[in-house]
Amino acid sequence: MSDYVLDLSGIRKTYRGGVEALKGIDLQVPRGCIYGLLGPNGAGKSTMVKILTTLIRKSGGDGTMLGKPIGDRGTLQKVGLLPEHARFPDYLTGRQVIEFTAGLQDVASAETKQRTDALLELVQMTDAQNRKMKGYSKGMKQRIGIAQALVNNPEIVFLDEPTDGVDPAGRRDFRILMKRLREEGRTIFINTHILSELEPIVDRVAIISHGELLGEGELDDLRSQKPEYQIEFEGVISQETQISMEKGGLSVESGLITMDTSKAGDVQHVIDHLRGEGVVISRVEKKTQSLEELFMGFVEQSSVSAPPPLPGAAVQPPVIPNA
Amino acid sequence: MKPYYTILLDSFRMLKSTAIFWVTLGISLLVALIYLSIGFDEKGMSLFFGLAPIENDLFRKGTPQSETLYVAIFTKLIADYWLSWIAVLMALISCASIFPEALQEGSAGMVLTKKPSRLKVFLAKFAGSLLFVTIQVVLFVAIVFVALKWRVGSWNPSIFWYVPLILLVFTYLYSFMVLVAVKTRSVMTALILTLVLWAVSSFVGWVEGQMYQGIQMMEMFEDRENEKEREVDVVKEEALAEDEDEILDEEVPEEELTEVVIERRGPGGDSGNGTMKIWHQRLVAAYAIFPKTGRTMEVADRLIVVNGEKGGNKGSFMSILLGMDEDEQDNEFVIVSEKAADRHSTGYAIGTSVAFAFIMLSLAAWIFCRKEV
Repeated sequence: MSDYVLDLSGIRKTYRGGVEALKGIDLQVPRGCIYGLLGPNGAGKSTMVKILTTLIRKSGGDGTMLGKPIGDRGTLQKVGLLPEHARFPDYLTGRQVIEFTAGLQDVASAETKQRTDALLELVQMTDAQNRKMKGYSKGMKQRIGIAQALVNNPEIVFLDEPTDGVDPAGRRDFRILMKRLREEGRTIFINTHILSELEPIVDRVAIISHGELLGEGELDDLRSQKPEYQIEFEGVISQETQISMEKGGLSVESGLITMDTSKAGDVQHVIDHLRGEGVVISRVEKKTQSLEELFMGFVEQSSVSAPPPLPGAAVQPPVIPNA
Repeated sequence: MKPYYTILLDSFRMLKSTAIFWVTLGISLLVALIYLSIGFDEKGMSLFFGLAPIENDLFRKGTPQSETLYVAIFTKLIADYWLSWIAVLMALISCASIFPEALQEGSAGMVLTKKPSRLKVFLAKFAGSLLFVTIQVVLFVAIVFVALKWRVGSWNPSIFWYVPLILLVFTYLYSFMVLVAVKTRSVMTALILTLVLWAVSSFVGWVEGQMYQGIQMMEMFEDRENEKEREVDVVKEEALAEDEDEILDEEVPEEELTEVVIERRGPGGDSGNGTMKIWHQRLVAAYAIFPKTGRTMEVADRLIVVNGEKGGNKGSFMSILLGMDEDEQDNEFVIVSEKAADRHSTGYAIGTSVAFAFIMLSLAAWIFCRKEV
C-alpha cells in the first residue's frame, strides 16, 4: 500500500466562464500526518477538497485517494468530511446528525451507538446531544460537525475551515483532538487561513494561491529555508559601520542587526566588530520563519508574478487571532 | 440498504418538521371528520354527528340512494376537489424544498460526499417525497373506508384506487418540479413553474374536451338533420310520384326545406366542423405531451364501485344522485359527455403522463448527478 493517502498530479479545475480555480496541483500527503492546506480566500483550497470528495469534477489531472482513483464511492466510506459552511439540518438533534452520517456511511447500528457516544464525549457535547441543532451556537455546531466526520472511523478526515467561528477554548480543544486523531494513525487534512490554528500541530503544509502550489513540505523544513540570525545590542554604532553592514546585506535597525544566514560562523565577525566599537550585545538568536511569515512570503512572492486576482477572489492577509 | 433508509428517514423528518405537513394533515383529518359526521337514520340524513338533522324520504338509512349519496360526496366533492387539487398542491408545497436544499453548499457536503451514489441519493429523496404523499392519502382514504362501513354498512375497498391515482398525479407534477428544482436550486421558481404547468395542462385538457364535445354535438346535429333531409327527400319523391305540387304545398312548406339546408350547410355552404376537427386534432397532439392530471383522476370513475356496480361513479354529482334512467341517458348531452369521458383510454391517459414523468425524472436525475456544488 502506498504511503501516500493522497497522491495528486496536475489537478486542474476551470469553472464555467473560464475561471481557473486550480492550475495543475501536484500533492502527496503521507499517511498519519496533520496536513495543512493554506491559502488566502479564493486560493482554491475548498475547490481542492470538493474535487476530492466528489462535490465537483476536476477539469484535468490524475490522482488517487487511499490508493483508489478520485471519485471512487467505496473509498468515500473511509473518508470523513466537515465541509466549509456546513449546514446541518435544523430539525435534527446533535446526536441525530452524527447518526445520520453513520447511516449514510453504512456503519452498523451497534457500532453507530457506541461511536456516537464516544464522539459526543470526545467533542464534549454529551450533555447537549439531544438538543436541536437550531439551538446550538456556532462552536457547538462545529463540534458536532467534527464528530460526524469521525463517526465512520475514517482513514482520512477533511476539515474545511474547522475553527471558523469557534471560541479560543474550542480552538484549544480542537488542537488537542487533532493530535489525538494523529496518534490514532489517521490523516487529517485541514483547510484554513487561520494560521495560528495550525502552527502548533501541523506536520506538513502546502501553500496555494491563485490556484497554484507555491510551496509544500514539512513545516520545519520550510521554515528553515530562510534562516536568519538576530543580534540585539545596546548603545550606538558608528555611521560608517552601519553603512558597511548594510552594503554587506545586513539589516540594521535601532538596536537590532539581522543576517540572512544559517551559519553561526558568519555571525562571529559581526559580533567582534560590534564589541570593538564598545557596544553591549544583549542577545544573539538563530531565527526560523513563523508560519505566518512563511505564508506571507510565498503569497507576496506569487502576487508579484501572478496576474491580478479574479473578481470575488481577492487576496486577503491571513487572520491571526490572539490564540 | 441502510444509507437509503437513512435518506428516507431524513426526508420524512424534514417534512415532519415543516408547518405545512401538520397543516395538511390537520385539514385532511378535519375533512375526513366532517365526512364521518354525515349519517343516516330512519327519518333522513344528518350532519355533524346528528346535530343538524335533515328529514328526507329518499336518503334514509339502508336505502341504495343513501349509499349512492355518501359515496358521491366522497368521490365527486372530496376526491375531485380536496384530494385532486388542494391536497396535491399542499404536498407540492411541502416537498418543494427537498431537492434545492440537497444541492445547497454545506448541505450537499453532508450527503453527496458519502458512500451512496448521487443517483441513489436522488431516488431515495424522491421516494421520501412519495412516502409523504402516500401517508397523507392512505390515512385519509382509510378514514373514509371506515366511514363508509359505519354509515352505509358496506366495505368499499374500491375507494383505495384513489391512493395510486393521487400518487400518479403528484408524481407527474413533482417530477417536473424536481427537474426545475435541480436545475435552478430555487424553491420558488420550481413551485411557480410547476403550478403554471398544472394550469396550462388542465386548460389545454379542458379546451380539448370542450372541442371534442362540440364536434360530437355538431356531428349528432348533422346526423339528425341528414335524417330529416332524407325524410324530406322521401316525401318529395313520393310527391313527385303522386301529386308533387299538392303535397309540397300542404305538408312540407318550401321555406322549411330551405332552412334545413341552410342550417345544415351554413351560409357559406360549410358547417365549420371540418375546421374544428383539424384544430382539435392539433390540440390532441399537443395535449399528448402534457401530464393528464384530470384524465388520470377521472379513471377513478371507471373503477369505483357504487351500489355494487363498477363504474357507477360516472357522470356529475347530480346525475349520479338522481340516478338517471335509460331514457334520460339517451339525452344527447349525456351521451356526448360520456363519449367525451371515454375519448381517451386509461392506458393513453396514464401512459403518456407516466412517460412525461419518466422523461422529467431522467433529466432531473442526470442533472442532479452532474451538478457541481
